[in-house]
Amino acid sequence: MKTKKFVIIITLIIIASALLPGCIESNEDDNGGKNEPPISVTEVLELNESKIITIDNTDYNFTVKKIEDPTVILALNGNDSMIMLKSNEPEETDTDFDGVNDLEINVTEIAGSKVTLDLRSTGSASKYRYITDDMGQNVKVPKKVDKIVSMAPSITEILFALSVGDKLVGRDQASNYPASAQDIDIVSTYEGVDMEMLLVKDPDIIIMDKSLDFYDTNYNKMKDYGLNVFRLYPRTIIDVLNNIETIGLVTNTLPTAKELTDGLRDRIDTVETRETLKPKVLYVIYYDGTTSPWVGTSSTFSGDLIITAGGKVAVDDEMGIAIQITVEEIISLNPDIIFTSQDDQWPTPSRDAILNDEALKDVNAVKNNLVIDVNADLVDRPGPRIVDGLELFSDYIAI
Amino acid sequence: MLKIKDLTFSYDKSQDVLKNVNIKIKKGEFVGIVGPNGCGKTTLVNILSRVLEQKKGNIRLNGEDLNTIPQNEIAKLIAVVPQESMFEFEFTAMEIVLMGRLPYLARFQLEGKRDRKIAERAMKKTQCWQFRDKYIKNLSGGEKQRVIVARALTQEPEYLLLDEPTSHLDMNFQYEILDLIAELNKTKGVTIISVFHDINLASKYCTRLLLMKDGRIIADGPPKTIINRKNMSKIYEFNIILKRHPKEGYKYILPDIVNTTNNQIIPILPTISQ
Amino acid sequence: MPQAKVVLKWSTTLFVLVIAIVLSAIVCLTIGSVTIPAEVVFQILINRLFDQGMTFEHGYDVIVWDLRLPGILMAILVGVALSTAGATMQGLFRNPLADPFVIGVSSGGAFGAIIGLIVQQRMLSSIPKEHVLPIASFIGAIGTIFLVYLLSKKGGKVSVTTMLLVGIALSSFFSAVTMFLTYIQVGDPRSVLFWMMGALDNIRWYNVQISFPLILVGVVILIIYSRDLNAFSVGENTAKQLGVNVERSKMILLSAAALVTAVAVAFTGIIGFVGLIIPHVMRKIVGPDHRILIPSSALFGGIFLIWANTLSLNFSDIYEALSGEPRLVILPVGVVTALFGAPFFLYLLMVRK
Repeated sequence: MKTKKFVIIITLIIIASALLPGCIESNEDDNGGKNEPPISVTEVLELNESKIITIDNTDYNFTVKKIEDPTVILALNGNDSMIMLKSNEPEETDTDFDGVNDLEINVTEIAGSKVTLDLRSTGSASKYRYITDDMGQNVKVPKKVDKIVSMAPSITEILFALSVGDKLVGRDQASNYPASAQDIDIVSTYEGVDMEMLLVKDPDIIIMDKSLDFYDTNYNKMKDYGLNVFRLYPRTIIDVLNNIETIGLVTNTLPTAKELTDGLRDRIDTVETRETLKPKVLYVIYYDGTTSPWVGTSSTFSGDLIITAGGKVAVDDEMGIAIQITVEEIISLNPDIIFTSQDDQWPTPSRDAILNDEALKDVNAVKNNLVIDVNADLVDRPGPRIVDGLELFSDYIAI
Repeated sequence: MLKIKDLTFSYDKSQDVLKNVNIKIKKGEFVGIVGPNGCGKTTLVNILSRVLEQKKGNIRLNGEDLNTIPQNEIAKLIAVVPQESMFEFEFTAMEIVLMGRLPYLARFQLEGKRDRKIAERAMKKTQCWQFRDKYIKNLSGGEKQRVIVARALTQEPEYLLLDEPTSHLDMNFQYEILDLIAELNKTKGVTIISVFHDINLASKYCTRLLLMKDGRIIADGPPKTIINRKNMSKIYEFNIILKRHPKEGYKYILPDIVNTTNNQIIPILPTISQ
Repeated sequence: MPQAKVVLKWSTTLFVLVIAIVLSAIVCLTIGSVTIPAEVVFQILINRLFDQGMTFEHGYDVIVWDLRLPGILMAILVGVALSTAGATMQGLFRNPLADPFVIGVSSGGAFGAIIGLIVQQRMLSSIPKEHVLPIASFIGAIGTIFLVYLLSKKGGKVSVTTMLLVGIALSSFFSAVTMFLTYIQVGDPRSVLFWMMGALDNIRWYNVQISFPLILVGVVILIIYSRDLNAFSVGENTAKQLGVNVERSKMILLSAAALVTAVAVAFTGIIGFVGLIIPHVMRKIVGPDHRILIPSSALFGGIFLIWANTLSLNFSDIYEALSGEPRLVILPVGVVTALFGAPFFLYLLMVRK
């Protein structure tokens, strides 16, 4: 009897200690910098005019959507509109405007199609702004971003494309493009984030991709140390374009970002207008002839590329990750085109394995010699080069 | 005829376990080998059954060098009953006895009617026919030993080699088995070579006794000649009382009480040997 | 039991097992990740066997004949190999808990495979991996047996107990090195890992063509020497005294068992529990006489592995049917055999107490 009681008590203690950490909430300190005097600006805007107003090192993009004296409908940063009443009292913005907690907007005058705005930056949190990341978090981002850490190769590529690669102080082990990225110190390896290295670098913001840290191991570790972590979670090409602009916002390079995405959008549009016969396309990630092949699906990036390029995705799945199928299924699916993922550093045997497999010899793609190696970085990385991948796919998919 | 000449053997290079053993055993003899532990008697039996390989010396069986006779021919001539047998798998007693026919069967030949008849006869003789379908694992020590003897008989050997065949049996079985073996020896003329732990048993059954000590044969002859005070003092550490069986006439020994201040009796072995 | 009865019992058992294996093969030929109606499967078989010249759509023909059939045949071959080797080891070592990997064949095979993989990547990249791996693994497996034998030999004789201990020591060493090499080996460890868990899912005709003669030879030898194995299983000295040429038989039995195991391991990785459990079960049914135990274990092993393989390949579909959740990966066949084998093994241990 005694032993039984003892066992129950120990079990309860173990359960309690496991639950305890979850109960204690971390207390975030919102008081960032010292108290600085508010900075104010007065600007005149025209109806339907978009103007970027800089207050205290932060860009705010205002658009006057509608004027109906005494109300004005304003849009900030392209987001939801806010109805402002002309008044003599400064009005605190409410949280309709994402990520803006410390700006006072006052419509001081309305004259025909012109509106006078009085803008004041307030509070002790004037060094920061809040931007919502892909995971729905309002992330505290310093207004001046000089030291960035990138935790994903796609993010590294975007940063370099936005010409802020020189602000990178740390990268993950896989970030290898462009070549100059390899000179940056590694703060995160396949084993996980190196906290010591990371803290030494003292980054202003850490940008990461949730799909590379699905169970939030690295994320939680970094949050425990009170670091600012911005998470992206792109799953389609459109998400990638949005990510580029978001990173532009975070790094204060929004105009460059917009230019970049405009160019990319044009290229995407060109691809989308090409005529195709909607061939069935399979993306093989790994096959070596001895185990069942790993393939991309309709919910992975490769799937989005295929659809955008005007093809049909061979394997339908919702999980968003690579899955294993059988060789039987490949035969039965009979894809018209097979793209095999290839890597310069660690060559994969997939293409050879497929071409040498006697069981696959009657598959359309094999018969018509449409088994093509593609650089995995152009298909799996949600960065600007994904459009390169798209164009590559389109070269084979379009007539 | 079994001729052993200048047999010397060692397990490792350091010490000889058998030193220059010379024996001639004629057909039909009932030879007992007796000696203190470590004298080499089991080694001798193992060499004869070819479990151990003999390198120095010469053994001739029926005129032929033992080393040149193919293993399965030897099995038709010499059968062995070891001290104890452990069985891991569920063979029936009958299956175990039938294995004695192994040397006579071609590789793919199944045991035939004749083989089974021989086995049956052997089992009836050793009184284990009644549990022929029982698993040998589940038999008692005495029952197991009877099955093993039956198997040895099934080999239809000329020579029967036994290594302390009764040391794990109670007295009933001891005499039963040895009576049986003695009968085999008399009626079938099977030559018996047996290591005994109990010199009294050997004295009762054997026609010839070999005393061994330190790897040598120190006495060789009929029990009534060999069992004397002088020889006994060589192999036993205590004084003995020599007696003769009142009905059967064979000699047997008893330990003499050592006269010390405590009147201690040094117990005689045979109890369970190592 | 009179001889006629024994012969009848043995013949019946073998006959039933042969029927069962043929039926299992036919049934499992109709099961796969791609649904093919049974009638079509039969038509395909008849078409191929009797050269009827029919054509089939959706690649069904290729799927049934070039994928499923070799897979099933390989499952039979490997099941046969592992069961007979397991029964042999159990008899030789006089221990019903022995299995074919007990003297280091599996770890030697795995070690050979990872070395082969590294060598192929660095130096032989022109030869496809699926040809290099089996050869390297086979060399590793046979080499290990050789090594164990040499290290255990004392004065012309080899003690099975010594072999067991040396085998364990070498196994540990090779396992550790293999693990480490797999860990530091960059590039894709997926194929090696999958192979180490037992893989029957990508067999082609050439795999079957190579393994069949090797395994056939080995198993025939084991059947021929099954009588000697009977003697061994009651005791090595006893075997000798019953006329068995012990050292020679031991060598032959071990070599044959090692050969078939090494071939199985080379092509399909390490599939555990088959060599342990099957002989055990058959011993309960037909008894410990190896002359019937070996062939019947062989057949039952084949049956078992056909079904285990089918289960492993279609696990995700079964999972999806039962749970409604989508499939994810192919389950390695070694995992399936472990799922059945491990509880059974524990049960055996408890019963022995």
